Amino acid sequence: MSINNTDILRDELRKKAEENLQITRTDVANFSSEAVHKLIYEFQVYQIELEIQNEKLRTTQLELHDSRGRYQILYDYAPIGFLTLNKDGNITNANRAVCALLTYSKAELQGAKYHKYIHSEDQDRFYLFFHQLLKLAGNLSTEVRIKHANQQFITVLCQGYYYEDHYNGELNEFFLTLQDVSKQKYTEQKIQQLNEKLTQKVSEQTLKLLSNNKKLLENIKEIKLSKADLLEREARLNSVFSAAVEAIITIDETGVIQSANHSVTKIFGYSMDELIGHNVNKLMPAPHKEQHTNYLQKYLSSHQTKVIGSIRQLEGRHKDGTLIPIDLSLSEYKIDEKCYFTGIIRNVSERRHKELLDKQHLDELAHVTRLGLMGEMASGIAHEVNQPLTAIATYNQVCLHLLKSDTLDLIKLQETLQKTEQQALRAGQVISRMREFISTNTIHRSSIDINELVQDAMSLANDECQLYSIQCTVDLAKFPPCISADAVQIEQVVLNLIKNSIDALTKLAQETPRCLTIQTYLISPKYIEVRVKDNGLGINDEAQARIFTPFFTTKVTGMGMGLSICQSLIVSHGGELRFKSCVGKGSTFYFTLPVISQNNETK
Amino acid sequence: MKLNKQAVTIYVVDDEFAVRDSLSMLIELAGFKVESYESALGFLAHFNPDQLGCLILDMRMPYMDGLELQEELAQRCSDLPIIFMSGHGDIPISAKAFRAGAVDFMEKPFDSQLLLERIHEVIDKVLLTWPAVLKKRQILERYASLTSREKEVFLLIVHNHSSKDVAKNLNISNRTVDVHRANIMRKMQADSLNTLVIMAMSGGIL
Repeated sequence: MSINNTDILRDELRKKAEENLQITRTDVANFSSEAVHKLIYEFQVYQIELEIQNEKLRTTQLELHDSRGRYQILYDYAPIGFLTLNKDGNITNANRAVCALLTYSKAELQGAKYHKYIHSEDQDRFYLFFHQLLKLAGNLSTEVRIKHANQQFITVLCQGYYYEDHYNGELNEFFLTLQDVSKQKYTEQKIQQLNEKLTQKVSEQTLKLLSNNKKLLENIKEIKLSKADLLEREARLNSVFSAAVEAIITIDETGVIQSANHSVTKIFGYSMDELIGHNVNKLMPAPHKEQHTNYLQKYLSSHQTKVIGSIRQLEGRHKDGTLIPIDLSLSEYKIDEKCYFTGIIRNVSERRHKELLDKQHLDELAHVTRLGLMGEMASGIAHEVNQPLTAIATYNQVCLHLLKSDTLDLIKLQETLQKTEQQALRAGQVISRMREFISTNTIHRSSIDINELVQDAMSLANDECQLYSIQCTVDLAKFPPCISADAVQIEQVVLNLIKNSIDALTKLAQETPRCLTIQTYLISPKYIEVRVKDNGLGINDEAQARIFTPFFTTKVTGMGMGLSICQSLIVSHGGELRFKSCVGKGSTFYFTLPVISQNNETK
Repeated sequence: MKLNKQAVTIYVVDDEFAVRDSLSMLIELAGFKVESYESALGFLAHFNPDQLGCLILDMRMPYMDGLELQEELAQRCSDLPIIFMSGHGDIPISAKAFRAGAVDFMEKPFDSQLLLERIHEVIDKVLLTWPAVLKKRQILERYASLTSREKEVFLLIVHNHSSKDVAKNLNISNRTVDVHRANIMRKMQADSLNTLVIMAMSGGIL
């Protein structure tokens, strides 16, 4: 094709040259032959020169053509988008990469304004860029977002060159290279985000580290403190250990004393040297002395014992051989898989002594209360005695009268004297029962019939009941088993309860019927219960809570000892004293006593 | 009316059999008629206000005690003298009994001879004052038969007011006063103003 073109160009050139020759035609005919020859020669040379020139030109043109073709290929297939704009911003040329970026065909792009593919927000910036490019004629670059398929935008790096055509000054073109940097951009953003995250994480981590550090410092401080604490506690424990009134002994698995405090020497009479390193069994009387090692071995193999954790009452052996009543509590601890036992020993001989004194004191108190009880019932008792005395005096007078009378009625006299005797005996019974009740100061346990006892007590209170119009009901168990008790003490309890009921009943209005019921019950094969029940005013909650408290009383002249004494007497008999009361309905006091079991009797 | 030991009854009230029995025997031996009761209520059931006598009463008894019986008798306008017995001679109770008109208070055990003496004294007194008692009772019965207006007039007359004064005082006519006066004299069975005044005094009305 290029050859054809050259031929056409040559024809046109000839034509033009001939036309020009016509215009500038010099009169060749007038020339001398010499001159003509010379001219022809000149022409020939010139022609050859021209031909050479022409040949050169043709080569150049061919080269140019090749170069153009290569350029076009480079332009079209470059991986970077090339865009050519005229100075109005219209697209004059675009390569494939641009088409791909803008998703339009080359034909569609040709002549279109490049602006319309740019994101509205970036248009101003692009305009400025464009003008700067025009002014500076240098090379500039900017980043704009351009419309991509599906209305998506991608960011491209736009690099522009202003190209001034030197051949034809009017045709100014701009070259833009477009490079899709959205991926790069995205990656950058990602990297930035990651960076930020990383920074955040690092700062978080730093904070954590700081707080951990702080905690560690605190821990160190605490440890220092607790170490001080430990030292202090140890010092304290040491002082407790050495100052304790109780003897504290630590032994190992074989029973050898590891440590002992000062009280051990005091209680058992051995010096420290005689204790440490020796077997603990030297502090024990037989049979524990011989058995102790066995006990230990048995425990170490089975780990079953009732001894650890409980307080046992035992006897210890003093250096001089005397036995000491002790309370022993044991604990166990392990160091390096080895068992150690700590025993705390309290010398309870003083306490035993005190208990004995307490018991004596209680007996005395019971006696005093009994006196008080009798005192309270004295008018009733006096009446009880005075009645037979009155009768005796009167019968006596009758006898005197009979003797004085003219007709001596011996039968009547005998009858009267017999009646007198009966009354005297009755008075004597009352007195002796009273004396027994008041004066007995020691406990005499005997096998007693509870029913008999209740009836005796009732007879002492009978008069008072009559005086206050109290209806007494005695409901007794049939053939109750015997109990082992101090009759006087139990009678005191019954009488006290009856007396309390009478007091409660006398507070009732005159019209209200006053009922007092005494019952004996066999509540189980092992226990007998005695109930004293009244329909009095009852006991309010406040008084109920304190009823057994010594010196608590609701009575104007009461000592407040009655019920607390009763309770201790019943408890010392192995029974229980309780009550039920309902305000406005009355109260029931009941106590249990263990019956003599068959086993006990045979023993 | 002839009065002697046989005309009186000695009542013994005590809840204790031996006391009742022995006292009854003794008092009977002393020549009196005796009625004994186990309780105050039993006594009241057989009580005759016109019967002369003396009550030997125990202080302490169930249901109704001595003091309560004394009060009950006073409410029934009984003149029966009471000798109290008590197993415990506490002063407040005896004082109460005396204030309420008891003639004596014996603390058990007592000398029963002394009791007999006291009974004799009381009975003598009862017999001595009996006519006067009867008289007083009669006067009070007659007085009770007067109408309330007549009682007003009666009181004015015995206070030595003239018929004129009485009429003025009661704002009625002289003649009406005279009618009342005549009725009073008739009902009271008085023959003169003097007799009427004496009656008023011995009946305790004046």
